[in-house]
Amino acid sequence: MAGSVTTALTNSSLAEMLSCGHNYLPPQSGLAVTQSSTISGVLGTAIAGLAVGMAQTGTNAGAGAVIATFTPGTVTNYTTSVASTGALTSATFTGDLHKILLLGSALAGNIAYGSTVTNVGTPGTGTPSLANVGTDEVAASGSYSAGGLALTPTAIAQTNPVNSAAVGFSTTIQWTSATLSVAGAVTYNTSTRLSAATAPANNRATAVYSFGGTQSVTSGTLTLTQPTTDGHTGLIRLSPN
Amino acid sequence: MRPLITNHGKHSDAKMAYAMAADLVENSARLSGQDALDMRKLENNLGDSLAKHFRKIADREHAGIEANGHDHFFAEFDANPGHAAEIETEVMAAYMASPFAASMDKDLAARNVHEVVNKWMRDAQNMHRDWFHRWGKVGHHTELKDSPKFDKNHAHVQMWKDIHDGPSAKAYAEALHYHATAK
Repeated sequence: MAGSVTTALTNSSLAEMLSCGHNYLPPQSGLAVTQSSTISGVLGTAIAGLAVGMAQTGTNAGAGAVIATFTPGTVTNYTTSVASTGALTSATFTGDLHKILLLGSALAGNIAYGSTVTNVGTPGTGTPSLANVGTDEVAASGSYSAGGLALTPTAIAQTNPVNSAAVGFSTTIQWTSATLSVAGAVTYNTSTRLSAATAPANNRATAVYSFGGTQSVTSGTLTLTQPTTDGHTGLIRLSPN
Repeated sequence: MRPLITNHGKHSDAKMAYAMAADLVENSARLSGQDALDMRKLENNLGDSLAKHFRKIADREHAGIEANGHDHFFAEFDANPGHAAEIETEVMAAYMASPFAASMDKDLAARNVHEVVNKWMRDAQNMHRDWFHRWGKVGHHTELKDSPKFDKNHAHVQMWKDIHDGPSAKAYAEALHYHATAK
């Protein structure tokens, strides 16, 4: 019996979303900041869309620095987990690194990919299971490499009149000069945001997408067109019953 | 998530135009009678008129590569705003000239058109840049040729891969920061 692919948000990711386990905020690149060998910093301009836990990058940013706190009563003051190593004047803040990988058309692992997938494990390696796509990931070809493509989120849409919120990705989901035969895709979060009783705590599967059958490309371009992010559609969409 | 596939090259201007047109109209298979016919006609009209815009995007990307080589890496990922506005105006005019104009929520339609146009423009831009930065190819559809501007060892080749492949959160963030600040 072969495996199967069914479009679904994974059950584990829904639980994780209620546990602050996923950050889908888009990166804020090249923001003017003032921070000088301290953990305390000041944004040049107040800006929405930053959150505690977002990574800080820039010349003189501390290794592994993330936003630790926002100072109550201010709109521009923050602290980081690690002090900058000197004068930091421009910083990029990034949320979790989400990625998308492709499932091959020959799903030897006999796994039903859908809502019960929990983790992509080590893509390309190992026996497939609900916690490791393993060798069910399509083999690298052209611009497709093991683990797939990075996804940069767009601004989260709060939709009206439909009661929902959704997020898509500004990244073009596309592979070039590739020879691939694929049945679906899995999005996952590479960031370690929640503790776990057993490893791994990263590479948590967030959603599975079926292509409705095998899709093949030869030495060419495969683009996955994202749905419009609105009340009715969106790659990741939350809506109450 | 719908796959769009082209063997041995890039998506053609017409293929992208018709795929975008399908994104801009209601699926005519869900309609019946005259509505289904009119929706199909609107989709075809949009497909026909959008192809020239994908050629314009390709020409702009190729000109950027020709002028700047791998420094074309610094081009905005977002759609060219002037061109996007031009396409949005054209699509809305096609809507308004269709039998569906009277029943259309124009504000909602405009928001949807804005998102769809920007998405497809980004996809087209990315396709031309990816074929250049990774493979050194320029050209249309299956008629690709080697660009003399390509240098596989250029630092921006790796930066492009770091942003798009995200080999690690650190490499991804550093490449994004470089893209935003190093120009």
